[in-house]
Amino acid sequence: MRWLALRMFRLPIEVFAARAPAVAVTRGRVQVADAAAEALGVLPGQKLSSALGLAPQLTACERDLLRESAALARLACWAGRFSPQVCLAPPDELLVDIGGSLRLFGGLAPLLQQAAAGVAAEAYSVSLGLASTPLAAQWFARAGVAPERTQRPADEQTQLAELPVAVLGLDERSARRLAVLGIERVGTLQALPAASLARRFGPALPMQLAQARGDLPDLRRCFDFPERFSEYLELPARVEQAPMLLFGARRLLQALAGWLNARGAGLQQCVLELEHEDKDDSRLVLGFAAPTRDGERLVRVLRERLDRLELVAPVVGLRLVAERIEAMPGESVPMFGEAGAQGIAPVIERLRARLGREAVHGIATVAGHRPECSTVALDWPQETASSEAPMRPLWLLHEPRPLQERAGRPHHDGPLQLLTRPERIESGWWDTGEGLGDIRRDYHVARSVRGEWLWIYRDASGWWLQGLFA
Amino acid sequence: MSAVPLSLSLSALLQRADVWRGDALGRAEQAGVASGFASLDALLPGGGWPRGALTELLLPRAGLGGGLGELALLRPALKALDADAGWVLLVSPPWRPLAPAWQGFGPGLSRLLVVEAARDDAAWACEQLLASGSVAALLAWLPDSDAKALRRLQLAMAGQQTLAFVFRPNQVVGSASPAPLRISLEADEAGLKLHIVKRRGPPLAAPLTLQIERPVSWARLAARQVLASRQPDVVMREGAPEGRVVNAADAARA
Repeated sequence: MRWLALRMFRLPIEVFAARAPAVAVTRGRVQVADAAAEALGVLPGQKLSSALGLAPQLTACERDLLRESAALARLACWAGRFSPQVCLAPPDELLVDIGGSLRLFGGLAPLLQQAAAGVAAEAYSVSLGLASTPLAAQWFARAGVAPERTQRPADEQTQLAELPVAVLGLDERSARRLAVLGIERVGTLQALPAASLARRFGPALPMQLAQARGDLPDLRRCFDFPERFSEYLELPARVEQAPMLLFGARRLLQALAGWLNARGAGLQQCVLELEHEDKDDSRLVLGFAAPTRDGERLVRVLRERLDRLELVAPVVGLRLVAERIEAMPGESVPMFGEAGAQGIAPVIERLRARLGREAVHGIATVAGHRPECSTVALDWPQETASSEAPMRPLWLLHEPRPLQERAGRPHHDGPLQLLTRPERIESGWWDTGEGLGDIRRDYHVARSVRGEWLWIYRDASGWWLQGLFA
Repeated sequence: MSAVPLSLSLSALLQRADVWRGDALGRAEQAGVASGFASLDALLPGGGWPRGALTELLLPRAGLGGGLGELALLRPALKALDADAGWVLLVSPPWRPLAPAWQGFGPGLSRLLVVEAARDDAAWACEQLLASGSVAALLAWLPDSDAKALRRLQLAMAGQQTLAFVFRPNQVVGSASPAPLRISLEADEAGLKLHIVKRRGPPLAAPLTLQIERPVSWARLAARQVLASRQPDVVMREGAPEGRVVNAADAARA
């Protein structure tokens, strides 16, 4: 198993989408500062008054745990696109078991890139951690150890030992005692006997160490993807132009796409409810021709709608509701190059039902020199051994068309210019009287006065037009 | 929206994805498929044949209405298609495809399907096929279809990777079409002449001549033209030693 930990380390402030610089505060103390505030020297633990001294234009938001857990649940829905095994690790972490998904995404690097880009698109700051146990992954994410550095199991253990003890998230008293003992690295803790650690710091510490190394099982409760998708997003400011809604709605749609993926379902219709301040909500129904769970396709359809929408009143919030979902199995990668046969087969059936069975067909070559007999229609295309064919036109007329001859030259709305030496095709004595029969023809490539490239021949009865080099 | 100042609604309009300024080449949402002709790619928004959008190729109706090399023009792009990209479809082709020639065209015969349908059914079939999402390239001959039918096709394939080419007669060049790229084809002695009638960008005054692949090379064709103009009619003067060939002017002078 490979666990990917996603740590949204500024979640408490980023859920507000407030104007930077901003901080989340509880009881008058800074909890989390955004990047702009940090740059001004605002640190967690400061009093709000000192923070305001450093940054007078600071926006302060009272920390809202409910909003944080809703955002985390929405991100968990979104993470369903990587794996159905998603665990919440409140307050600000998600764990995804990506062990079974690496192949689907074409390896670790593309998956990590998509994960990081996906969270960034939702405007959250994220750090990633990768390990074979969930706890170690969380620790790596907290310490900012890049996933590439823990890709191999051997590296993982080395990196684990190097981690500072702060990643354990111990209470203040234990942290101070560790500092007094001069223990700074997880590796030092690992080297100490478990029994004495348990006596001094409680049994949780050695257990955590063992779980991080994989010596003890670490059972996590999987995120229950909700039965019905209905997510609300409060907009940071009133939106007066419909296309501006796309940014917020994109978050909801990406969460919806992940949720559909985890449930193995697709939808043909979903409803975006636009909340107005003093009017009833407007409903925007998005419909799809075929069931889908492609996030980009959902966004595209929404963009089309928003471009043409005129808002009746400013919008303050969005709610996305998936009403009808349908089972939609994933697409398998074809093993022997039969890609797309499933996709097109139902359409072919429909076409044949209306146009007749022979109307839709593949073609194949048959050994034979006579052009009329070298093509056969197939019910379904097949791989045919390709042979080095002489120069032949793409099109044959349904019947050869007689050409006039003037002054020894063939004419077709004007004299034809013969461009090649004659190519003699002479064969078919065996089916005289039944099929095409014995032929003896001299073929030329010719060009008409209109610039058409033709394939013509001359036999005992005169000149004939038979094909076109399209 | 009458209370909204004009500049605001104009700026909102310019933000739309389907609106582009006339003085710049439009940015295609996805990069095009290289046509195999660098001079053509340079003129197409997206740097090649557009994906997920119709390309209209207009052929002269006089004569046979084809055979200019209109498929040879598409050949390099289709040849470069991935074998797993999907199907290549010929919808209501005007003539019979000759399998040995199509073998080397595009991803091969195992990925080629022919749909024979008349008039309205052809456009309907195209729409159904495009909506399936498993079409790599669609070549359709729709001489009688109108802008409404083409719009339906354009919608059915939006957002897909499909290459779609529709062949129509030159007469419709003046009528509106939803295809973002329209090219009128004309035969020429030096190659296939392309008039880009419509594209996302400024109109082009000069046509482009491409030396597409032909059964006889263009150089040889040009050489033959020179030869033909130099010898209008070859006559044999009786009594000339060993049947010497002289040209008509000399014969007349004699």
